[in-house]
Amino acid sequence: MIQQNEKTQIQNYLNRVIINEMEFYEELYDHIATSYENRATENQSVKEHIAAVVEPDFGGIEGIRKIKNAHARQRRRMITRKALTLFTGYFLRWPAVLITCLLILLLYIAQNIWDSYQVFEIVTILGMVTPCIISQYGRWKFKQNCKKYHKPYSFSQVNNQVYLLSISFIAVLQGLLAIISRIFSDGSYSFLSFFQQYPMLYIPMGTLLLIYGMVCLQLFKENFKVKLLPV
Amino acid sequence: MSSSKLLKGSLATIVMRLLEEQEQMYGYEITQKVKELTAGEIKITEGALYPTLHKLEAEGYLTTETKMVDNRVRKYYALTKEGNAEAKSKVAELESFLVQLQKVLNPKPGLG
Repeated sequence: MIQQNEKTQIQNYLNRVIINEMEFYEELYDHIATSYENRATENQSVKEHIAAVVEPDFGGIEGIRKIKNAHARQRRRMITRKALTLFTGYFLRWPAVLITCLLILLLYIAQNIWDSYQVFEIVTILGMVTPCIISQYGRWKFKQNCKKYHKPYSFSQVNNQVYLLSISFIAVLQGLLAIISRIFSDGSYSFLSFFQQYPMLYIPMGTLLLIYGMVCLQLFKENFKVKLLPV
Repeated sequence: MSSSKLLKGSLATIVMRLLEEQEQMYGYEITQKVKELTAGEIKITEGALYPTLHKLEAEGYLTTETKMVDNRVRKYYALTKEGNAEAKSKVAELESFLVQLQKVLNPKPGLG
């Protein structure tokens, strides 16, 4: 087993290479530590081992950075694909399609009982705002845990991607359309005011928003389970 | 023997074949296993191995599990159900290719 000072040297090296996300940091740290434990010559220092064995095998510091960036890209694609599979599953897969039918029915009943616009407002908050708040909380909590356990990194690539997905709907439906509206019609745009003109869209849009919210929460539940242990 | 260029196209197959045998392995273990099986003749560089592992994971052929080993996090890779099927198909494809390659490299003189 490697000693504390040797661990620190590996951590310093990884900080120098700028590995600041949990996923690749932990994998690379374990790789270097295992490689060092199995070094050919006992009196080789961590620094010497990295220079003689690790760096040439990874293609130098540049090689490590390339792997890190490629890894981040793959992760982004993986989570986006997962989100799309979950989302389309609510329309195509049994029994998830039952939930969609149930949501449509509940929205229909709710709009007949209460004011349909108010129902739509509540659905918007549930579907769009709640996942944002929860995933932002998850990121904050992760950062706090990193500090607590003295981790050299402060974010997780997966958590960040889930957060990005959870804000993307708001960004497109409110942010992007507001910008387009300013450019072309010189007027202000509000997502809710826009839909107020089309009450027949409340149920389809409300269902989409609720499913989107559920997908974000499912991703959140699956991906934010990050165990951090003291160094 | 400089085998890195020859290995490039078959690295994913090698990784999947090893995982078919071992159920789960971590990056360093894979490099050492290849070295051991080929008596050091073939050396997989980490610069090629990790992108391959990450790509296979993103494509859904590999799944990962983290375990605590010697007070550090170790990431183990294992084949998924789709990965198992893909491994079989890739190994068969590579074997067939090697047979064809052999015919090109050592053509037998014609009988007639």
